[in-house]
Amino acid sequence: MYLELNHLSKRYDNVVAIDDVSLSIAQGEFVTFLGPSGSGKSTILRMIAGFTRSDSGYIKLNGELIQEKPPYKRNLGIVFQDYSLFPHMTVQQNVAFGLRMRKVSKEEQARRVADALETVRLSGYEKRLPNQLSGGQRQRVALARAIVIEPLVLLLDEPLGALDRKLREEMQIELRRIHEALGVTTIFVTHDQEEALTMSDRVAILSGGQLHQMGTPYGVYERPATDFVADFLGRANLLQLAVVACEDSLIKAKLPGGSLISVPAIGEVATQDDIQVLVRPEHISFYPPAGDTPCNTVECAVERISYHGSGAYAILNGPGDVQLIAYISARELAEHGEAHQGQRITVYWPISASTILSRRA
Amino acid sequence: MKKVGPGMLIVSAIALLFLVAPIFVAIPLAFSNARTLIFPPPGWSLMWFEAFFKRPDFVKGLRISLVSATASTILVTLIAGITAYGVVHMHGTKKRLVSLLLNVPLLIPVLVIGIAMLFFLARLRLSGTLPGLILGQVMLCLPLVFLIILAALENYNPNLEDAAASLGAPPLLVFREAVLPQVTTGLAAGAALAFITSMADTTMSLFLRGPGATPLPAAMIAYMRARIDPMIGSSAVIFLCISIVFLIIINRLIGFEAVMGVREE
Repeated sequence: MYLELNHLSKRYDNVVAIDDVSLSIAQGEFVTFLGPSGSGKSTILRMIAGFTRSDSGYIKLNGELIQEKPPYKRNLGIVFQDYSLFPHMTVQQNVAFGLRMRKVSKEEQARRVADALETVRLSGYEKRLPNQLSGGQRQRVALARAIVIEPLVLLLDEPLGALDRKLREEMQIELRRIHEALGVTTIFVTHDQEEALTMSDRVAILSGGQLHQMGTPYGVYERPATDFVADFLGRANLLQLAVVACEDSLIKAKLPGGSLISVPAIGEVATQDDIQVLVRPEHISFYPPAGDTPCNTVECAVERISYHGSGAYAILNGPGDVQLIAYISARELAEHGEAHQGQRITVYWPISASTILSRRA
Repeated sequence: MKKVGPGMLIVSAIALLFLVAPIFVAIPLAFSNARTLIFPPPGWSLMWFEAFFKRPDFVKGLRISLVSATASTILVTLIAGITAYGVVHMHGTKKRLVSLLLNVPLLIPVLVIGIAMLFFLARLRLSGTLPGLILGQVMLCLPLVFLIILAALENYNPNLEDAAASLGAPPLLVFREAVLPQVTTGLAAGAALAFITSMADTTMSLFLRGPGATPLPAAMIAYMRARIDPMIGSSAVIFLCISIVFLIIINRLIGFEAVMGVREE
């Protein structure tokens, strides 16, 4: 692989910051490190950049061990959370900085800076100082400064955190466009799960310094490996079940209230085991699915409906104090009419839409 | 800018008057032709400047003041600058503790520090020497200058060092391109304060003076014990000129607004 992290670990005093993280990234990939603050995502980024040393493990970039290389020899483009533009330099000088350090000729500097500014759509701002630019424009300068040196990897450390929602979404599209235009391997750090899912080829989900799962956005959302991943990515119903029977491809298990549920079998599960099962709210419906899709059904009472425009979340009380969240799309609402509080209702979800989760100690 | 009410204007005017008025008494006195302190002066002359430069103890004192103030300014700016640079890279309790410890000398009267320095320098066999005087002035200025430089570095962004390094700048270039431009203003402000404080210091000088190490303020105090005449005024004007020249040099180097903490928005 192009970039390999092997068994990286790091402790600060007695706090584990990074706990045996291994992952690899292919050339040209757009990978997101996703996790809450303190999950270690930025620390790993700083290790790749060379600002932080790992206590053990190694990093290999393009076949070369870079552990001993100082940051200035690694040829990586970094966009910092606060952009870190040089305040005393113009846009032109900021973007040209890396080229100047590489002793590129004045003419070539000018040409490449112009190209980079065009890529980030900021031509015409060459003479401005950073404090004369808006947040979004500074962001673009920081990006131009990082890509102009043609880095081996582009590292983006929560670059959209300081922007308002609309600008954020605009920059997300811009970043993808630039990634596709340049084909540069990109690592994007964020705590925003929606951002991670929309932008990435693959997402690495971190928590407490551990890598929980790495996979495509669809894969990590629909088939999360751990309860943390399931809960962190979107809304999740995490059901605690007791296994009563194991068949070839199906497991029959009981909710605390006694309702019997079927779950597709994964791994080794035996009768009497306690298992945790994920069902996404959007798979739970008030209405039986069309055709003969095998379904689980549970009797519930509607506790609350919260309307979101494109649909509504229904908070439901099932038997044995089990709480479920169902997402009812606007189309379903229109077809079947609104549910009201206190209503007794049967909910359905396809058996294939439930996933058994492993738990991490 | 906020609108200033008439009350605020009057208070500011009075405050300014109190601050500046003594200067406007001292300056005319320096050009007096009277033998005693009479205000306003009965006539004008430069005789007191002539008298000043005819006194070997004053001329020597002025030279010692300039030499010791220059030396202590360089030392203090370096030490305080490096310390403040370290402190801005610290976090939490460590940062507060170090800042606090460096400010403690401000709570102790200069008189006490002077006595302590006297004993300390005697041990080093430096009492009454120029190096001793310089050390004393370094001691006097350090906490003040540290405070000023630290305040000027409040907006220091350590990430710029990482940014420069990631763009291919080796450590020396990181220092020149990312650190120096951020700290020069603070250093210059610190240097200005150090120079003026060292030049004007009287208390410390009285303890640490000696043959070959009596700065002008100490020489003037000795002179004024015997008599008081317009010579005080002329010395004051000479002091004022030196400070102004120093500030002009700093202004030429990095800009006056930066030193005085005034920034154009």
